[in-house]
Amino acid sequence: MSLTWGQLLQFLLSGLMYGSLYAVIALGFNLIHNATRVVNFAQGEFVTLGALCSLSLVMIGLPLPVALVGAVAIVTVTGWATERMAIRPVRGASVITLIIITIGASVFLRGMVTWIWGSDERPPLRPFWPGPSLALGPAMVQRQYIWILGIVLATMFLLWLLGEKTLLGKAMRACAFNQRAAQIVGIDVGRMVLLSWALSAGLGALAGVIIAPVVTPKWDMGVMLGLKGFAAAILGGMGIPAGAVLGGITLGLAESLGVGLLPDWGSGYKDAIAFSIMLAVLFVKPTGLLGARSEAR
Amino acid sequence: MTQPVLEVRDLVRRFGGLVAVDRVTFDVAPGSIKAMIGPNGAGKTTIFNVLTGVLPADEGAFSIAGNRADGLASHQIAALGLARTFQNVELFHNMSILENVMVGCHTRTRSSLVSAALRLPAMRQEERAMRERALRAIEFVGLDPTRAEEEAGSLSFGQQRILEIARALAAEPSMLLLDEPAAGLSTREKARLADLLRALCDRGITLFLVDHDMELVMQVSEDVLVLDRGRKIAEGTPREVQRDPEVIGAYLGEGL
Amino acid sequence: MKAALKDPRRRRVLTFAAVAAAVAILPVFVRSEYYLYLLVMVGIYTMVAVGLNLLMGYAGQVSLGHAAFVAIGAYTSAILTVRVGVSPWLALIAAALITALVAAAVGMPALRLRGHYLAMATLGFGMIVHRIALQWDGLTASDRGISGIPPLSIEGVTLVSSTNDLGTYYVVWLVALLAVLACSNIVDSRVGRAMRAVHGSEVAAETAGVNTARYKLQVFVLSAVLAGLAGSLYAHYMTYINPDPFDFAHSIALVVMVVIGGMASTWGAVVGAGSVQFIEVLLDARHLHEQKPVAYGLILMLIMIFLPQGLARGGIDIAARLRRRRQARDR
Repeated sequence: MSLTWGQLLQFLLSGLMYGSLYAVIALGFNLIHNATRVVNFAQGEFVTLGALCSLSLVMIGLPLPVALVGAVAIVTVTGWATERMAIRPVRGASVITLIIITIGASVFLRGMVTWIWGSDERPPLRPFWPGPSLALGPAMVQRQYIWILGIVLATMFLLWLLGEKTLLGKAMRACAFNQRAAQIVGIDVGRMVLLSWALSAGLGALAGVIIAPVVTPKWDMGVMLGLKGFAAAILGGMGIPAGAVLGGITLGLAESLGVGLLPDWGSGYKDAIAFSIMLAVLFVKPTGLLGARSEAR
Repeated sequence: MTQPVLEVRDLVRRFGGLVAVDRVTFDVAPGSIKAMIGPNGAGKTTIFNVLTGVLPADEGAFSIAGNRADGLASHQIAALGLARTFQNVELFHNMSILENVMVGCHTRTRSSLVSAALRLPAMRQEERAMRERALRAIEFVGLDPTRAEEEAGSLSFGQQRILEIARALAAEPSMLLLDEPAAGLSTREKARLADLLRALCDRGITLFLVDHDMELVMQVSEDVLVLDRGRKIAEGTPREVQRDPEVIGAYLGEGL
Repeated sequence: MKAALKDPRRRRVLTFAAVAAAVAILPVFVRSEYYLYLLVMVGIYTMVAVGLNLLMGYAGQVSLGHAAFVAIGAYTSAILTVRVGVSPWLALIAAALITALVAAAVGMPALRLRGHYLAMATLGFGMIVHRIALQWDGLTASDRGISGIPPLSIEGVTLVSSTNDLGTYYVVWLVALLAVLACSNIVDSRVGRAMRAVHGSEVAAETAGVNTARYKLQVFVLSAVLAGLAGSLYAHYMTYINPDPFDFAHSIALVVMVVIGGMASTWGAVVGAGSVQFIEVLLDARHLHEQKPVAYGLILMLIMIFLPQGLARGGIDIAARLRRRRQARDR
């Protein structure tokens, strides 16, 4: 059980990296939940699509930056299409209807991914910044980690800017707060919902794209990532942006340290950590770390 | 000195910075009809929501027939004998008239999931008794029992309001809270409502109602509580309250 | 006759009798063992689907991990009979009990909240159970599976086993039809009305005394127990189990069954189970095995958008609407 400082630092860094990934995915969940009160079960599929699209675009010869942007763009359009075709027609339906539809969408997307890309594992994407791992004290940091952290931080900053400083961002937050009031003030709620889906899909794709060089892209990579992103979202408090970040980092660190401190359990049980945390949150404090004290029914 | 059916002490409920209910204290005597009036936004429906467990109280306490009820969940408060009708009629539109009223019997019956699945004799007996009780409640409020199997949504608005009362009646409550029972009713329906309320009172059910129809309130109630901006400003007989200058001021000439 | 059909209770009894009769004589027309096997599977899935139907249609909760409860039932039976030597009938009861306990543990925290939380919790739960089945070699023998599961028999007469498809068919369908009857009884009872009331108006139901959380939990546990029983019967029928039939894809297939059959109709479970089995066979025959998720995803979305009451109730509705439109036109 004794770890060297180097090993500990290694696990912390890895946890931080995965944690920031979960945070991005959690932000995607938050966006859609705030706009529509729906949990988007297809969020994980956007991650998968982002990763695989970037792979294919690189394979047909596009330069890496173009492939990355292109992949995010394609998935954003997919999110837009999903909202238009599957969510818009049932506006105002019951919660269970919406849940089933997003489940249907996720299953459908996963099926399409398998159809297009097959069910085998793909080789990872080329790292953004090729080269050997860097040394950070006693730990070795893959260069991709730095890109991941950098992009995630930049994304969060941009989202914050969007929400606080732009009219559009404020309109979206208004919708999240009170849809009817927003409508009365003249905000096109339908368009806000659409935007939240598109943005959410983009965030998911971004997560997929930055993780593709580190993790083997596969048709089902999104399921677990989506689940963990959801766990992060409710850990921090569903709908609270800072909560997504806090929840993501916490979850990433907990997973990493769990695997590090209990190596005999193997990585198969790594996923169980996220699930256990999720159940614990639901049992003890459903509104999450940053949520209100009690849920007003 | 008989114990009040409802005792409310220093009740406080806030919404963010707004104090919707500000240290309200009152009693409701058993077998009486008490009304709560006040201008819009005075906190009347909020008080109802707190009393029925829909919202928690921030401070203060209340008891039903001597049992502490603040902090209890809605279904627990219902088991203590409190029933309620709603401002916007909250019927179960997916069920028949009879089924709606039978749900009202819920607190007085006990059949479990297992006995229902197996249709045990005790469960069948209870079902029959529930049906009977529901039909009698439907008759009592003046609805047509032969149409009881029809969908609840097929009734007129006024009839739907009455149906809610039947549902509450089926629970054999000690106290019934009525939230704007006269809203949207025609003059004739209002007169029938007044009769129904008096009939309920004769059956021993304590009534506590909120309404804006001053004529109905003054006609039917023995005791009136006046709220303004979350605070109690007057309490007494209809006549006393009508004359109170503070009450008149609060309504600013809304035709008392 | 028409008046007799109006009474809902009598209608239910008649429907039950009709379906039971159909189920009883069907094997006469079945030509091969393969088709009999398919019908047994429809029966097993009906058992799971009817519980899930009660959970989704009446308690308003979605479970995305119900295959895990089937797995728990199947593996409990398998492990107890093969490794410990317990009698298959006792193992069946144990399977039901253990499934109930696990469901209570999972359901208690998750059911206090809104619908998504149970859906996500069951999704994770299902994956974890499948993962355990794949990885805990000592318990489940991973993907090698457990073989040699003894049959269910009475006095030496084999009832449920791969050697007696016909016997299995009748036992499975007997249990399935009893399950449908039980669920149907629940819907038309105090508890069923309470749950339907929650659908109509949660606040009115709660103030009328309905303890929503308690009933949601009870229905969740019941649906899990039915799934566990189905799993146990499956294990004895196949005499061999491995983790494959208990993955996420199968949990989705169960949800599709309930959606197709219609969430407000208990008999819909039979329609749904049959439809999904039909789709599976159809896609397998055309070598479109990989396209199953695409099909299921599309079905889920299309039905919820266009025909949310499912084929059973929705079909009747459409027929009624067409008739009315024709009448209006003829006038």
